[in-house]
Amino acid sequence: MKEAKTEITLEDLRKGSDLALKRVYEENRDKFLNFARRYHLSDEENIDVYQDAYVIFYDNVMNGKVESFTSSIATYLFGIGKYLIFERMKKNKKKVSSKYDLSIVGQEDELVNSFEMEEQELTPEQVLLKRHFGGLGEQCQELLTLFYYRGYTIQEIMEARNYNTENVVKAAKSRCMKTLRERIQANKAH
Amino acid sequence: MDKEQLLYQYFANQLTEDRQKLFNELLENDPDFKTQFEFEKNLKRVIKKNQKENLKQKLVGFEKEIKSSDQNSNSKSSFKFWSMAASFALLVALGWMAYSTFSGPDYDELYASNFETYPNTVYTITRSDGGQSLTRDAFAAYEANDHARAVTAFLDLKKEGETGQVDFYLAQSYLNLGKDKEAIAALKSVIVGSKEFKAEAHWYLALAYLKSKDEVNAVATLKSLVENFDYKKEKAQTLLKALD
Repeated sequence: MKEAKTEITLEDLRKGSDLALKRVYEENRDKFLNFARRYHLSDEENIDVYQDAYVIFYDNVMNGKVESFTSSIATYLFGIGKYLIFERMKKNKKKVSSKYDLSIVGQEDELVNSFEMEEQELTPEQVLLKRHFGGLGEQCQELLTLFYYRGYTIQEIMEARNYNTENVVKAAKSRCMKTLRERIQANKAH
Repeated sequence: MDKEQLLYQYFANQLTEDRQKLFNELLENDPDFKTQFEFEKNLKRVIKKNQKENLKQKLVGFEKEIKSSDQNSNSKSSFKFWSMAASFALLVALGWMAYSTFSGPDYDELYASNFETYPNTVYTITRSDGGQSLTRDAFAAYEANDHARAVTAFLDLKKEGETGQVDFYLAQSYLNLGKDKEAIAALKSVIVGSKEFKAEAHWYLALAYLKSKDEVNAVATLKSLVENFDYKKEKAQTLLKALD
């Protein structure tokens, strides 16, 4: 039997639908906050951690690390959240009580141990690139994001965005890259 | 072997073993190839960062919506338990007093049944123009309902000296993100400073006040709309009756 309210699938999330994003956010929020409370950070910090955990989870859905749900979304979020909370406690120089020792591995920790959690600072070159990427037209930004972030092939981009041929996509991509390179070059020349 | 093709295959995760070898060789011995590779690798990193920032901004928006619809159980302070409990009790008491004094219209319901995002009427986006302008980006995001991104773009436009129309659409995006205060500020500046969208701005300002449960200002703004303009006149009158 199908329930009226269908489950959010990985596909829904991968498509980048805002509605799916929001529903997953709302459905797991209270569960997460309840779970996080035991670590005695403030509620505000916990919400911040929840959001960061959600961002990391979503990123790993996008980069293919999560290929199918072997557990509930909440379990993934708990695993990431726990990691982030420990990092914060370390930063706040709070002693991490042995009760919370990371070596006590729960199901949720194993689930996420291949995830990329750390966000490294951008190099000056990347900062420049980011600025000019933001200045590109919508179409360019979308195309490059589909290719470099969401892992679409040229053919998939053609199908998803109604381009006529693969060559049109390739040409568009080359043009976008050229513009980007020229603008950075111009910026450096100043 | 076309170097472009090789890079493409690398980033599409389609390198075969043989090509991976060739790829590695080029990376070591061909500085141009290496530069190009580094560039694309950096781009990939930057896009990822961009996506993550956009998402975080969206989540902050969702959170605001939750908070504003759930003010009573809000306990975001970092006080110790007892002081939290005390302030919670105070909140409940205040909430109860407010409720018993002003119980009447359901502002959220009135807002929800009246609010509709104003369509983009100022900038036509065509597929062929492929333009790179900030205005185009802003309205493309707006039309795609990507309001977090639209806000960023509108704010950039404002930095370039655009006002009026931009403020009006900025306010629409703020309202969609549940940022009532910001929306109110932007709408006020449309009403004070702009020639266009004055009437529309009154309507949306009234709704924004309604959303933030400021009945006094909502009523005043609706009255001013009814007296001075024709836009949404009937709806404004109905709303005034509901608030009476």
